[in-house]
Amino acid sequence: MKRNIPDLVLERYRLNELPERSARAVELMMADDPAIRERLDALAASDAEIQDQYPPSAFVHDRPAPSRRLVIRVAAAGGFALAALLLFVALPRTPQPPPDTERVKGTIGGRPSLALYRRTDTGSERLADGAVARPGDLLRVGYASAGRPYGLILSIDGRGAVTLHLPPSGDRAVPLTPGKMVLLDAAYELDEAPRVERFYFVTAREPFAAEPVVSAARRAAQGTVPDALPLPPGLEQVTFAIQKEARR
Amino acid sequence: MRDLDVDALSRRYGPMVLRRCRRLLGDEEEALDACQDVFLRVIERRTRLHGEYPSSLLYRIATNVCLNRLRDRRRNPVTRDETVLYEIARAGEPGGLSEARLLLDRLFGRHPESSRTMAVLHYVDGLTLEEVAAETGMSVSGVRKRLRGLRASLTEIIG
Repeated sequence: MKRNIPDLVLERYRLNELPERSARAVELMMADDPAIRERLDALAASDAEIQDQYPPSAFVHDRPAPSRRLVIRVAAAGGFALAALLLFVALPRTPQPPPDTERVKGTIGGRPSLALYRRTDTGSERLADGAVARPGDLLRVGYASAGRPYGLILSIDGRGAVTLHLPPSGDRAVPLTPGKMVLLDAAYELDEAPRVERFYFVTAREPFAAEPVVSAARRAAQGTVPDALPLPPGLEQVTFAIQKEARR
Repeated sequence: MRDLDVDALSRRYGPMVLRRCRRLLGDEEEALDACQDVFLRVIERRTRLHGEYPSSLLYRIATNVCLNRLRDRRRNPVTRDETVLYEIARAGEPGGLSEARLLLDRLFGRHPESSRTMAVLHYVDGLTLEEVAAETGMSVSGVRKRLRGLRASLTEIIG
């Protein structure tokens, strides 16, 4: 039976990144099977379509600039005092718009999304979902509402502690700022809680109370960090996790 | 990050990564987001790019990122996107789509990200065990062991 060449093999063939023996095998198969040539042509056409549609910068996030009113809030007890205060003092205070390459979210058909930014020596960096973070890292949470008018953000850590980030206090989901990635005013320091911390961005098209969501999170957090919360009908959620690495 | 020349990487490999994300996610907006996450991961682990074909690494990272995003969709109504992952679950046992989603959720919690990627490369993309091994830098027996572990978990979960 003739084997179908996987897409990855053809992609690498086009990029001239296949080992020589494998590349020769592709060429031999191509001689017998014109469909392989057609698939390569389709990949070339797809390249052209994508390059027409997006500049290369669309594929790479620039690091967002910190905004003013950065307030450190300690998410849990322990280990965070003078060093964080000094760091706060050293943070730039000038408000700056997100970089041009921070893509603006549409309001039609998209999904809300969460982002986490970690303070670095030179600014901040956006973390990938599942990235490793360490106790002591200073994090800020951002969201893109994708047109959802109301929402809240909370997190559950490896000890089952539930922290409400948006709103930092209050009993109602807040009106969301539409459009681009919006950074929360507060930053917080990652504590020693083990394993993983997951953030939940819960949104709805109507106003909703925070308490049922927080209660659901507390129930779900009994000894675990759930991948998703059992939410009342009408609420949507997206999540974002960071893996915890022990302090070095 | 610029010393890695991420711009050059994105020019050369961006279309391939976006295609991969499109295929797994089926949503242009989310695929572009995932694509950005892929290059972020490359930035974070730049020292580990040496000695690897960037295409392999980027394809693998794209797969990981998309799987994480698919996992986060599971509370949404079933979409055609999840049929991709369903193929993985189906390799263990037949069953309904919702059941497959539950199984995948539990599998995701038990196995490392790299195992899930291997499963997609093998069961969904059709790479041979040898090819998966070459892509992931593991031995064939190592890949076989990981996939066997996934299947064993499926069997255990299904009972």
